[in-house]
Amino acid sequence: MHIAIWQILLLTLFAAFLAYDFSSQFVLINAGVVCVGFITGLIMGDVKTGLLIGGTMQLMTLGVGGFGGSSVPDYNIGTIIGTAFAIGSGAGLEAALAIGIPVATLAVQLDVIRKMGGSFFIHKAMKAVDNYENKKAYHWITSGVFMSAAAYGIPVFIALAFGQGVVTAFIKWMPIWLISGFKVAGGLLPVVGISILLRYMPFKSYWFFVLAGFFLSAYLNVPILGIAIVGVIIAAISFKQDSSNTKLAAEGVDNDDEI
Amino acid sequence: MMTKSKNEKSVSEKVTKKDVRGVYYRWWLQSQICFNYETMQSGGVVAALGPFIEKIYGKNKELVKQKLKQYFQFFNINPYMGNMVLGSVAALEETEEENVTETANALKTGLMGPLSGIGDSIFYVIPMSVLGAIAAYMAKQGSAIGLGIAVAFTLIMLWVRLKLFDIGYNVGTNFITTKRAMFDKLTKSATILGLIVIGGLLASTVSVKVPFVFTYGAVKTNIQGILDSIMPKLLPLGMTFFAYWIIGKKKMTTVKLVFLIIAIAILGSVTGILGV
Repeated sequence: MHIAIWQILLLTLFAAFLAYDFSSQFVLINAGVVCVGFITGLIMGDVKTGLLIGGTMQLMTLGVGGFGGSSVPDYNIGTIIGTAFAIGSGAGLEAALAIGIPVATLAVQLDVIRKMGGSFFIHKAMKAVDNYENKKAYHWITSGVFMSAAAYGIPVFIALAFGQGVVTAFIKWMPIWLISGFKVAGGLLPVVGISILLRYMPFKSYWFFVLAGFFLSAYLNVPILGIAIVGVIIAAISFKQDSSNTKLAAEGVDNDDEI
Repeated sequence: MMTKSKNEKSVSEKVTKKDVRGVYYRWWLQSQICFNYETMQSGGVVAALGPFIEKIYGKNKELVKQKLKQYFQFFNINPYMGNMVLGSVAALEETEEENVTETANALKTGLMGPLSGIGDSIFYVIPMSVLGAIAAYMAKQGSAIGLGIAVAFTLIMLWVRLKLFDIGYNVGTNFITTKRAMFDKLTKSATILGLIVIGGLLASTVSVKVPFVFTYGAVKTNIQGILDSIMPKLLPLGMTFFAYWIIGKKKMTTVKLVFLIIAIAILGSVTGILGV
């Protein structure tokens, strides 16, 4: 296992920053998990593996994490730890998934800790306002960032610094059936993100658009960016059509240009 | 509610454009910084509006305290749309009318649900799934270009957030009701884009095959060959429908689905039915 102390520290800082970035929807969120895989790969010195792991994990989350209020695995933390250990030990995507997914499900608790910790800070801030100490109140609110940073940074540090022995033993132990099982799982897991997203979106009334995208890829082998271009075209046509329809309907009835 | 025209805007001479912008920046950087179960984003609201309110009502310490305490009320909104609400709340506070904070809080509470619904679709779920899908697909092939596109988009969205704040401040939140039809159309179009990309994603990223060859006497039947002759990517399509069906069941959670899929993969691989 080769994870240097500076790599552990950088990854810890990165996890702490992520906790802030994702909660304020700052810059990384749209391709969240891919980005986490990329940066972890960068720190670990193997961007390609980082991207592969991040891409696979991203496909499990795709926009909507939870369905029906269920808790969402924290794929960011799972990706950091899975990628770091997989690259550090020279194992591949299978090991990253075998480690990263359980870690992601355990890491759900970190969000709970963060939000419970937030209560402490908000009460301190409220009290400061009661005492006419507004500056102090703002400082307490801003200090909430340390809560998130600690809730995410400390577990990552502990896992990377003290987990290497266990993980090395685990990777050595991993029998062939488990490795090939996770190889299959790697190809199959994107259905998780896709099915949750379909449940969230009006799939039942607009299933034919999914079919169109499927056709473009399965039969014509159009790459995903090309499919997105076709998607934009159809979306624009629909937008234009709807606009002219409403214009006809609203003619002379209501003037909504007055804002 | 918020039908002030632009020339009424300079009522308050106590605050400058910079002070108004300050509310935006503080909300951007701190909206969920102190997120908690009791009041959710109230910390972000107080941190964003506090200095602004102090600037307006600074002399009246008791009033400032009272207002800040009111802003500690429960608030939870899509942070993008939150800009619009915070902008209009800032404009309200500038009027210095009596009980204006009650009005502002009523506005905040009333808009939380509807604005979050729009905001989550347009600014969160659909961009994240379309761009996340593109980034993930390209990342699996070893390219970071998709990731770059997603980050570039987010940078553009920073400008959009500022615009939303300005709309809230200058026009008021009834913008959203007068332009409701436009937002609905936008949501629908974005949904169409999302669904098409998902269809492509399904066929291009879910990969599973049946390596199992059925032998009966001298006849060998390649099952994958049969499946392919029916339709390419038939198995990924079937697996997606299976997952779609089962996640709709009661008691099924995201976590359970992940482990169910892993169990199917391991079982399928051990028995030789499923392969890559």
